[in-house]
Amino acid sequence: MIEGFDKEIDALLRQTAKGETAFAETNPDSRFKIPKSKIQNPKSKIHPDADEISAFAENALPEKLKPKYTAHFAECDRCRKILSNTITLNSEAETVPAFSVAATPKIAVIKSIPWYRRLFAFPNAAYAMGALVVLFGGFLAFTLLQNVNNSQSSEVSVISESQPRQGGPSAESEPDFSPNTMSNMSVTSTDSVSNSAMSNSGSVNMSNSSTMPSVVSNAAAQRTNANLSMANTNLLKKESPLNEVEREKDLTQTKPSAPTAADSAAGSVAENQSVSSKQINELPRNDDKAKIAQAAPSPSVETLPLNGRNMSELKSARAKKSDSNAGESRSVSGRNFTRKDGVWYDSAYNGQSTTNISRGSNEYQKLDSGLRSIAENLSGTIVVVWKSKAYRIQ
Amino acid sequence: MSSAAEKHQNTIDEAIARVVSRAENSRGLKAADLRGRVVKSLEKYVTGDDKNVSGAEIKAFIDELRADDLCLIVACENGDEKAWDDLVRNFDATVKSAARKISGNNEDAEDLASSIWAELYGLKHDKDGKLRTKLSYYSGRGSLGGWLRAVVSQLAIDEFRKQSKFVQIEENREFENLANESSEKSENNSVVSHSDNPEQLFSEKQTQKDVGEALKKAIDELESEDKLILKLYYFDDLKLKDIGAVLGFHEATASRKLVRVQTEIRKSVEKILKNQHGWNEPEIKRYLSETAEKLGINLEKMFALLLFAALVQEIFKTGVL
Repeated sequence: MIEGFDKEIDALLRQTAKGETAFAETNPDSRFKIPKSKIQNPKSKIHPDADEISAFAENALPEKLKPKYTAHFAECDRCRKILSNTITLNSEAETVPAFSVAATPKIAVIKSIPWYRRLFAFPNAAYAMGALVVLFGGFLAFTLLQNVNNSQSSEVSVISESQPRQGGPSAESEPDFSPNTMSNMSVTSTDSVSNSAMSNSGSVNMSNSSTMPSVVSNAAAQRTNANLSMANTNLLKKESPLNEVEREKDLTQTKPSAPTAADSAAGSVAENQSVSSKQINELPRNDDKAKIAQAAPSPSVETLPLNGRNMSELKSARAKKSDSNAGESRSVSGRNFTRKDGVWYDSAYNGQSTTNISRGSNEYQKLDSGLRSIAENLSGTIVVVWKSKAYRIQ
Repeated sequence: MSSAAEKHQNTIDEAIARVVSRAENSRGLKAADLRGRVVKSLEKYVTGDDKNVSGAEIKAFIDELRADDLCLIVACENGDEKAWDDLVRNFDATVKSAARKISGNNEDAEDLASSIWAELYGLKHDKDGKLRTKLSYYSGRGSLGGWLRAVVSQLAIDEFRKQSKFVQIEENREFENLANESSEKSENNSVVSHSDNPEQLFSEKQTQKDVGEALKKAIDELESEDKLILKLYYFDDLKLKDIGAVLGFHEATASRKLVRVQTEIRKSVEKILKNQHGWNEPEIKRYLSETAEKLGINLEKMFALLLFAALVQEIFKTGVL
């Protein structure tokens, strides 16, 4: 669009021009659109001949004569029409020289096709369509792959959110000892333990395991190793005192109907982790711990009343379930991995959100060598916790 | 020969000699063979209006003549068969192509092209017994191809005028009546709305009449060059690039000139509508904006249809489907 173009006047002039030529058209294909008004202007008695018109059209007239002819063409519609036809024919002839049509028809045809039409011409269109199909197919495959991965992740998160609050027979009937649910159960048991130390839990510094209160240490003892307890600590860190109160209530309500969850949580850990439990229990206690102990004397996990069953019973029950449900396990770089549904789960993984990384990608190359070493020793998809962050490498 | 030509006889002879020497194929012509034609052209374009023309101007004019084209035409006029063969062989496509583009159908185009060749060859004899041919009008100032196209265009329009009943219409028909009637008969109906209400219909017609008159006056008041630019652009659908080339300036300059012309027309139309027809500012603005809006919609539809048609044509042509 021309800068400063007056659209309104432009529209008005176009409308008028249409009106001027509308009557002149007897032959719709013809270019003889001479307005019926002023076919011959009375002021212009002498009309220029073809030589003058062609010279004017090619800007070949002497400068002195131009105003005279300009004035005539501006007034005489008949001569202007001849002029404009000549200009148009000259312009078209420049694009496709007449003699070249017979001599080199192919070249002429190619030249006459404008660029935007050439885009759609064969074989360009075929190549473009092929490329589009490949691109689209690739995009679909990528999207499908992403969806599959996301659905796996979402399953994990759903389980980790719903199970701690689940109570009753359903939790009992389908105990799951995957790394995800194990961690959840640990949290549940931790919560139940922290129940007794509720009044102090908000002031406890959870980031330092050495200052962990005994109730937390007991809960941490249920972890398979020290890393697991760290992860649990992180999880606890996220819990606000208010949430803990709510969860305490939930737990109190679900306790009568959900004994097996606690059973299994305690049971599964009891077998494997007595050493780590001891280690943590033997850690020197500081003043905070003492205060907590004073404020709320915490019973040992083993002696906690859990719907009439103590922690030892829970542990043994859980161990049994764990034995029956545990998949293939492997130890790589000092970490234990359990295979579940074709995915290797780090035992330290407790259901937190993961960062998805594809093998061979730039992100993968940027990972710590230790982490990459783990990934290279395990085939397929692995979920590993590295420096307190969970990665899903596939 | 005019007095100016006699005065600069030597200059003319020297310049004609250069023309002959410049020609790649002078067809055996000598300076004397071209002299009459060149002097005639000089009188037509240079010395006719200006008796005090300088030798330099005459020299420049002759030096700019198209030597080969001029020699070919003069040779044809002198009855050179070889020259005729060359003319027909090299320019028959030009004539036929122009005739096809200008005519509605191939039959008319063939007739037109035949008429052109007949006129070029000459059908009548003058008092000296020589054939009176259109070739004698070619000055060599413009290209031979361009001249032939102008001849085709001129003959086509003159033939059309002879056949057309519309030639008989009164020439002083009012500009505004044309606009009004065309809006009723052409496809442009949607631009000007029509109502069944007689009062409203009268009002609309009166409005169109006022605007038509104002626009006509505004265009009449323009300078010749501005008027020509405007008419070539709006009435003849020429591109600004082509208009600029004809008038000797760049497309961008033509564009700027057109914008200036539009501004002048707006001012004039508003002034005339206010002073002579008693319109007020809001009425003018409303009418112009409505016209632009309605025509804009039409143009968008037309463009979309054209694009769609071009795509369909291309698909069928290339056989992609």
